[in-house]
Amino acid sequence: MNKKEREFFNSKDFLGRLRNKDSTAIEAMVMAYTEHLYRAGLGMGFNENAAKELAQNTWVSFYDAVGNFQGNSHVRTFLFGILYNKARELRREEAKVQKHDSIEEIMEAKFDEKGRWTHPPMEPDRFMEASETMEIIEACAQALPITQRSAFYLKFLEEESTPEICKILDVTVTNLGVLLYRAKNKLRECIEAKAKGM
Amino acid sequence: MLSCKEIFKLANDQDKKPLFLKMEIAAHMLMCKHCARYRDHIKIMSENLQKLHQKQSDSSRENIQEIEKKTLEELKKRA
Repeated sequence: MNKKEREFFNSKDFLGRLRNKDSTAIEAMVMAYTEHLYRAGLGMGFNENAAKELAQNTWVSFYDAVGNFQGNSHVRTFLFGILYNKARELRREEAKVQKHDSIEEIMEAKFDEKGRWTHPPMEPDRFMEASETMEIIEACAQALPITQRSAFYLKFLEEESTPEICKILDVTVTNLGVLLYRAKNKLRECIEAKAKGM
Repeated sequence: MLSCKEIFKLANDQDKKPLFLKMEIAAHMLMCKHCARYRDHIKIMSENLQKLHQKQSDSSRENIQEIEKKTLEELKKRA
C-alpha cells in the first residue's frame, strides 16, 4: 500500500464514515486490510484455519469498536492492536513483558566474568543448513510466546516502525528492545540445538 | 578494548548509535570469530524466516478472498 492510500484511510472524512459504520467505508477497509491481517496471523505462527478465524474475529471486534476510535494512531495500527489481543486470547497468553526485565540480566549467562562467550556460536554452515530446513525453523518459531513472535514479525518481516509496533503491542521502546532480543536469541538457540542434533 | 559482552550489548541496543560506536562494533566483528558468527546466525535466520513467510503468503490468495467474503456477510448481519 502506498503513502497516498495510507493517508486516504486515515483522512478525517474516511474516519468519520467508518465511525458511522458506513457500509462502503467498512467494505473498503475489509478489502484493503484482510490480506495484512491474514498474513500477520500466519506470521504469528497460526495455521491457515486459525489465521482465517483470527482475521474474521478481528474484523467483528473492529466493527464493534470503531465507533469509539479517536484517531490517535493510524487506523491500521488500531486494527493490528485488536489482532494482537485476539491472538493472545486464542493462545491464552497473559503477561506482556515483565517490567524489570532488562537486556543486561538476560545476557548475563552468555558471558564469563571477563566478558567472553561461555558457549560460542557454532560455525555458520551447519547453522545455515538447519535454518533452511522449514520444519526446524517453523518448530522453533512456534515455540516463541505470542508477544515475542509478534514483535519479531512486525519488526523484521513487516518492517513496521518502532513507534507503531509499540502502540500495537502496548509496550515501551525499552520493552520492545527486550522482546526482540529474547525472540532473536530463543530462535537462534533453538535452531543451533537442532543443528547439533542433525 | 571492549569485551564481547560489551559489544553484544551495544549491538542489541535499539537506540541510534554514534558513528564511533558503530566503527568499534565493526572492528570487533573483523577480529572476533564468535561475535561475527552470532551476527551471521541472526542474519541467516531472519532471511530464512522471511522466505518461509513469503512461501506461506504466496499460496493464500483464495483464503484471503474467502475471509473477505465471509467477513462482509457477517458485518452486514450486524449492521
